[in-house]
Amino acid sequence: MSTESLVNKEAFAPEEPHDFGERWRVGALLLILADAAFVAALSFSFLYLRALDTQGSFHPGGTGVATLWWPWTVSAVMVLSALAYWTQLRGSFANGVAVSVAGMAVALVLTIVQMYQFPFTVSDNAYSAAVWIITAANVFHLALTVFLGLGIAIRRQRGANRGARDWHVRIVGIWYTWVCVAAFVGTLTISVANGTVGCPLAKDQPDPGARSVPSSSCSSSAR
Amino acid sequence: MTTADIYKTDPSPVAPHGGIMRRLNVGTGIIAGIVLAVVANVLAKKLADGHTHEPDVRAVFTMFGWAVGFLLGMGAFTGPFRWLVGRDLTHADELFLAGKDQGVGRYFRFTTDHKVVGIQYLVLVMVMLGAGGSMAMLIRTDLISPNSGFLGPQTYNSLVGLHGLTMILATIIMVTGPFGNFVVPLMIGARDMAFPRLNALSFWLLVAMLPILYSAAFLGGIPMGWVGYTPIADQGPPGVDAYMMAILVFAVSTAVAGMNITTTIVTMRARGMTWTRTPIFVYGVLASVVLALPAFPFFMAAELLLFVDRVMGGGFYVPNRGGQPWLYQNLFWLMGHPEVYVILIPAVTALMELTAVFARKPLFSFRIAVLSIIAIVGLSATVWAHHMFASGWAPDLNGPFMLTTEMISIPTGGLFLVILGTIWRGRIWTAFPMMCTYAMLWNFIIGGITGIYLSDVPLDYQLHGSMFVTAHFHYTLMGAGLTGAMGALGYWFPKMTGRMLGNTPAFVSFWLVQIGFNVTFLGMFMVGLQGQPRRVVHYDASFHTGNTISTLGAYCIGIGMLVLLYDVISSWRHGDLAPMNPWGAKTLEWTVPNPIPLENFAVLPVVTEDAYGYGEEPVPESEPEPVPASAGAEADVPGAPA
Repeated sequence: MSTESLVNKEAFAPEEPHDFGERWRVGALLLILADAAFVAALSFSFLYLRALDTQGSFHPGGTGVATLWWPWTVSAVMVLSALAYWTQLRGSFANGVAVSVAGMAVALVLTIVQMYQFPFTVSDNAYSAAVWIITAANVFHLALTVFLGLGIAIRRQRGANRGARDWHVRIVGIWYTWVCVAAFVGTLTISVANGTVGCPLAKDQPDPGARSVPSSSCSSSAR
Repeated sequence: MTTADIYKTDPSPVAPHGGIMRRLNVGTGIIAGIVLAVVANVLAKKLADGHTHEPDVRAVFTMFGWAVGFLLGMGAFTGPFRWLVGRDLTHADELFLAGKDQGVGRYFRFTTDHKVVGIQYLVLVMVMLGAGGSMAMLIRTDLISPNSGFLGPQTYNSLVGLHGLTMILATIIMVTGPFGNFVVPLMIGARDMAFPRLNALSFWLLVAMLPILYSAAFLGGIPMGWVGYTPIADQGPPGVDAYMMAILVFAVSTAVAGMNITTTIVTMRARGMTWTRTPIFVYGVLASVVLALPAFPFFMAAELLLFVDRVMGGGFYVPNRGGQPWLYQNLFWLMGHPEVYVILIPAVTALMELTAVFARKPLFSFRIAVLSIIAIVGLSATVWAHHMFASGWAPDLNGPFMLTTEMISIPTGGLFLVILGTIWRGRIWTAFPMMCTYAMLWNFIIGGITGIYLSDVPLDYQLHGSMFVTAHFHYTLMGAGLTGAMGALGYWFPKMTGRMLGNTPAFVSFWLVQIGFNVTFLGMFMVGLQGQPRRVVHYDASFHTGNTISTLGAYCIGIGMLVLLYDVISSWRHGDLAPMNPWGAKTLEWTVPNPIPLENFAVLPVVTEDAYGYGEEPVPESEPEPVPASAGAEADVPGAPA
């Protein structure tokens, strides 16, 4: 292409806020993609170790099991917070952003309390370490969400979300939705693993790396 | 309109100019980093006093403190903090951050201009390659005789690990860092990257990473090699903490850079630049970062689990606590094999780009090139377990993984055919960059074919862990990847620096490096086939001849690289001024004057055809008078074909 063919007077016009917003949204979605790979790696690690149950030590009998009440409650609070956020964006809940930030902050506190309430320490076995890391990942997500939500709330107060920056509000909403999905995945992973811990190893596969009996064949008395 | 003009058209209601932000630079970053590292160390001692893992806790806290403090002192968190409180950076702040009217000082600040970041990456890559190369010289010197005693076993192991890790990290960023940042926005007709501040962040994260990485040498080293395999990593000295933290910081940098480059390419191409008119190098960079974006989080997760094991006593990789070293290997290679293509694809596509220019022919079968890249990206996610054939993991899957690994050679062959087809009957201008294309074809054929041998399960059982494997991946990563980066350097050096790279030293360097390279690694294939294991300091006397040959070849590479370094520095300082378009190329980066203005294009370009219409107009005349920088006229340089 020649230099002459490149001249375009219209190019002097500034880009539209919409262009910037779309750009920011694509960037946020790509970061979420990377984060999703990270969450998938943690869940994979948990379930993989559970499936191998190396030396029958993934979760030996007599050691603590994380209660599912905490993570499901935290997930529910997060979903309600995200709903509040999106409701304000739809224009039907005046204080939705403030409520959502408060909700996420409560979820953050609940998660930290949950970590203190674990009936095990992180060094007990692979199960305890896996539950701990998945919960810690949720703490990281929630801390970031509170930061972003707080920023949006303050900026609304100051009238800073104007023009292209109005897109920040929507993009943070996407992040709210994603952290709920991530929390759900983490909670589901713990629930699946909890449902099978304590199952005996197959007798014909005593070596490290031997598979456990599938959960469907694990009797309730064995759990 | 510069990226900073976003804020002009969309002003903040309250916009005080940054005060302290304008005083921050590398010096303040280092001071803040050291202060926070000391504070974190003291804190860690109080927290973990007497604990089993106290050395690891203190090491990790100190490194974390350093990284956060350095970035804080650089001003990396100014933007997010101002965003949080609703006082966004002003237009003047953004122009300051972009480095407007700041001279050389902008290279030592948190500068957002993509051209500055590209140059910063280039220097960083050269420093890392220099460090890794020096380690390679020490390793080869030790291996010149069976029991040289030049290095102790522990030092040797650590050097091998640090050399590997340094080189892998450097080669990951060696094309997408300097050229992806400097060239790609120009090539697609954009003013800057999509997220300029994140662009600067991705670079300065790497700078923060380097002291962490090299602190490993003073903390007991990394005895498990660059792959960081457990259970050795679980049991290793605090040097392993440095390895772990360096990877975590690098992974964050990669994610940020990958997101930024992808967004830039997808959303900021010039009007009329459809996907079929997008230059192949842009595809290469895009493929590289799209691969890295989901792959590196797996590596990050692997290191985070190792962190829990080492610092908190977790049991992810400890079998008697229900952990499994295979988990690490899976997570590692889920990143590790895509990472090979993260390195190779942009290097090969850079050579494709310049081959069309130097052959004065349109790129042969653009569509095959693009489809091959897409196929490689897709298949590379399905081949990771071929690195684990010998580990005993999932033997039932050996066949499928062998098949997918062999399949990936098909699209790789497609890339070869595109380059060969472009060269075929072209009017070749045998300049230094074009020589790199020839060298890459030779080296990558050897690297690729030996890779097919290694994907074959029975043969892999025989060759796994031998010097054959070492020679193979050097042929791919160095013979193809680094050679591609050298070609890219020769090609885009005039645009990046405004000076021509000295021709004679470049050719001298080329021949020294390529001859030395083939001597080194063909010798290594030989001893590998004879059975010499890798990562072993003392070897049997029967391997002596091959190792001596390899060491002499390595010295030849070292001398060649020094010549190239001399050429780059001397040309950069007082080389011939480069005309705007010395190669007569047709991509957009050659339409901007030297030096390139801050906003890149006075007028945003509109693209009306693809970038490979060579042979459709007269070739530039040979040997014209040199055109001064900023002249804005196309010109030629000595040696161009008539």
